[in-house]
Amino acid sequence: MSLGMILLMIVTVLIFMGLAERVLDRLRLSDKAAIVIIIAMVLSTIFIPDINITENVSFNIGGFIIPVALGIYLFIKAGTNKERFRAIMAAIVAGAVIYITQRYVLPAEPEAQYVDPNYVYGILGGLIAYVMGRSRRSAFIAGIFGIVIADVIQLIINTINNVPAPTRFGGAGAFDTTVMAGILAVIIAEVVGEARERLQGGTSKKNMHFENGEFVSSLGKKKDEKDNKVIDIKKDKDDGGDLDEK
Amino acid sequence: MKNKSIFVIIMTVLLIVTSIPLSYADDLYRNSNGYYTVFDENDNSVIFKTAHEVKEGDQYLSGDNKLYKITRVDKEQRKAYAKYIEDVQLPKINEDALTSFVDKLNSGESLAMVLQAQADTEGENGGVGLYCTHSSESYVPTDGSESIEGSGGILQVAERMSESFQENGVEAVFDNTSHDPHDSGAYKRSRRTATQLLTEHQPTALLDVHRDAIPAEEYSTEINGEPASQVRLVIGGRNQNFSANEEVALQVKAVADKMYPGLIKDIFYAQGDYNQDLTPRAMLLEMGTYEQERELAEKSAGYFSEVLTTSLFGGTFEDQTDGGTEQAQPVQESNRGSGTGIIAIGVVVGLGALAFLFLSSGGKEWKSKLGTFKEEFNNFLGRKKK
Repeated sequence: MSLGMILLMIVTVLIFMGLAERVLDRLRLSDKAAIVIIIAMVLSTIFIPDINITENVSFNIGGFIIPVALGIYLFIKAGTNKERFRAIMAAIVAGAVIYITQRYVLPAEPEAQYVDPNYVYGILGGLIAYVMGRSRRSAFIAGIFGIVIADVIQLIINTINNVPAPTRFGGAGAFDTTVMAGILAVIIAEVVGEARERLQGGTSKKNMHFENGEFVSSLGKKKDEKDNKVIDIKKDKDDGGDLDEK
Repeated sequence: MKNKSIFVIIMTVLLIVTSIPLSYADDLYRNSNGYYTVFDENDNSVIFKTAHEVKEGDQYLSGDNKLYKITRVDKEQRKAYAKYIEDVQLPKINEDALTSFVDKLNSGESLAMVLQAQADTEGENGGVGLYCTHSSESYVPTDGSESIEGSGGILQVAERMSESFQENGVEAVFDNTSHDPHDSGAYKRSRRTATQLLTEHQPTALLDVHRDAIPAEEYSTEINGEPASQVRLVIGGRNQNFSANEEVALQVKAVADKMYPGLIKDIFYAQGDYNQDLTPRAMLLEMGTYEQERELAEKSAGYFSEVLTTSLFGGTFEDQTDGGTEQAQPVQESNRGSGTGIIAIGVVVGLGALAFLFLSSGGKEWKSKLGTFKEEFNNFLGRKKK
């Protein structure tokens, strides 16, 4: 391959890694942890083949095992049970919506597609997670598990109908739709959150409460319950006030 | 305040939902209510017909290399109007090299022998990878149905193309994995196949083989006096590899117009990516249409493999980078399109970052955020934070 094409591919991978690093950084991972995870994903994509579970089901390390493990880690680290519940709900709703969208909404023929289907799933995951919980972590979990759940639904339907199509979870590794959806979902949640904040004229930390050592959304909380919580103003300031929750 | 937030969220969701075209994924051609006829806005002559939705801004390169852009769409009447943009100059072919190439072929030498003879000077032959995203697509007159889950007729067309590449001396790998059902999710599933082909075999070119869903007459032609189906090249317009992939498509059409005039129907500039973001040598092929006999598409698969082999490895293009014409150059050695791709990534990332900065902060915050940009990476670079 020519030097120009090799450069183009290297720049693409570097930009992808840079974007992914920024996204993981927003999920309260350290820079080092984020870069190690991304390098592991890219290297495993190139060097480690899929793990075959059955004849028609396989797992990819970089496109399935690592992102799912990261999603579970973020789920465990979530500040409150309410956030965990919202993350689960967002993932289930995202999975159902992504399946319905890929099957019944987006056109199959390439000439008829207005936008690449692989981008639509992440946008949907991000929006659903934001509406349900206004949390980046929930958005990431909804993006990753939304695709996984949609794949599982397809696997079940294929098995029932005897369709011999394999289900390769995360088969495209770091460049799989699973990873793309997770990253895109966080970006969408961030952009929608910032846009909403800008339109309303400032941070909405005043609409949050402090619980278990961090600020969490007060969606669904009764007003008097919120007022009784002590707000740590210093932490609010350090946080930059850039999104409801970090 | 709360109402305002809910309003913004609802509007955002509505904006995205309404921007997605609603149609049952598998019924595009069955429920199309007739076909779009696209007219030249200057003289009302018919440019092309299609069963697919067309919209303003779509581009189309006709068989005679005229580039059109859709300017007006009348959905009720199923009519669209296009503006002629320009005559596209296809990449210049070294006539001597191609004539000598074709003469050897006509004299009974196989393409494999011709390529072997020049292999020492032209470098390695990287091979071709093939897969079918819509693996159930079939040809009604031959296969009895337009869609057969698990064993679509398109798999046999791709298999024929793969065999033909191998007869030409090109290492071809066809992954016949099923990506059924036939819906937009098939691209998510085929992305996994495409990535595996790329990582395991590192092919020079990656082909996604389809068949179209419009009337037979739109794809009917004669090659060397015998009936055959035409081939449409589809290029995804929204990824960093667009220019590089477009360059290959134009080179393929230039060679085909010399070797098998009429084989390439047109080049369709589409809106998706179709996994073409994975490599700068990717192409989506429409091998005829569902109303044609499969044998016509199989015959064209053989012709197309010769054309692509000649384009990729034959060394039949003028090296136009220094204005000279002395050196013929194969596609695999070309850098064209890579610079545009790298610049495009830079522009998109830069504009995206600026837009986000504008959205997330204002006034003095801009300076503050830019000022702390370096500190953001201190931890990662191994320096201690202040």
